[in-house]
Amino acid sequence: VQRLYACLGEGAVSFLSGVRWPRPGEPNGWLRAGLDAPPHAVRGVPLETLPWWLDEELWEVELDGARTPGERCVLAERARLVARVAEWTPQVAAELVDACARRAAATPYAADVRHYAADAATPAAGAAVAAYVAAHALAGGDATVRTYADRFDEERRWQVEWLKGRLRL
Amino acid sequence: VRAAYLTCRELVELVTEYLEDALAPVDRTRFEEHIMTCPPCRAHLDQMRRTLAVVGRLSEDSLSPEAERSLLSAFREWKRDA
Repeated sequence: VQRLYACLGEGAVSFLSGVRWPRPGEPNGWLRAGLDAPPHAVRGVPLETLPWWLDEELWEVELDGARTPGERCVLAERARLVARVAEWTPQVAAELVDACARRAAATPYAADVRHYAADAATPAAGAAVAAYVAAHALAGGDATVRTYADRFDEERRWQVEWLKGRLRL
Repeated sequence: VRAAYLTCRELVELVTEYLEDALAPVDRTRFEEHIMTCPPCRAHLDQMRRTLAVVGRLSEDSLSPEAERSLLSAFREWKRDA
């Protein structure tokens, strides 16, 4: 069974949709597509794309009903939060920024990783920024170059492995 | 081939459609990819959402006659200046 996650802001609110997910134990614990939230907001994120979505709270989610493949996520008729990943903390987010900065240290974008991450409002949002900038840096910094996409994805895979190990996912 | 990364200027132009859930899936993906990696645009989206939450509830009937006159006057002046 594929484990799926939701990356949410403080209070289990999705920054992207603005929707607050019901937390485990709350009545009507399911988030229903088209009723409680726009259909594209009812989704689970596989581990393989987690670095794209990082936010303050990381939750394991359960999907129910018909599933549709989305872009770097799986859409469903309804979804609910199962358990929060307690290991994902602001401190760990800062560690990821450090790790990304070290990865990109030998590139011309070395300083950018920390610089842009520091612009973010929270450590978790900073980690998402750092992960993107590091992947961009290690891909060569020019998306029009033929090898860019492969190198970018390779660095994203490294980030997935980092999260998997650090968060014991 | 990876879709081109949305620029901040393009994102700003798409914010309203994003909030109204009117973007095509491919554009929504590019929008969200940018939002998750650009702190200033993230702040912009947050401000837009908060603004809509406050002023999105104002209806014509809720305006006082004085406020209505003031707004109409401002718009007339704006058209004259344009």
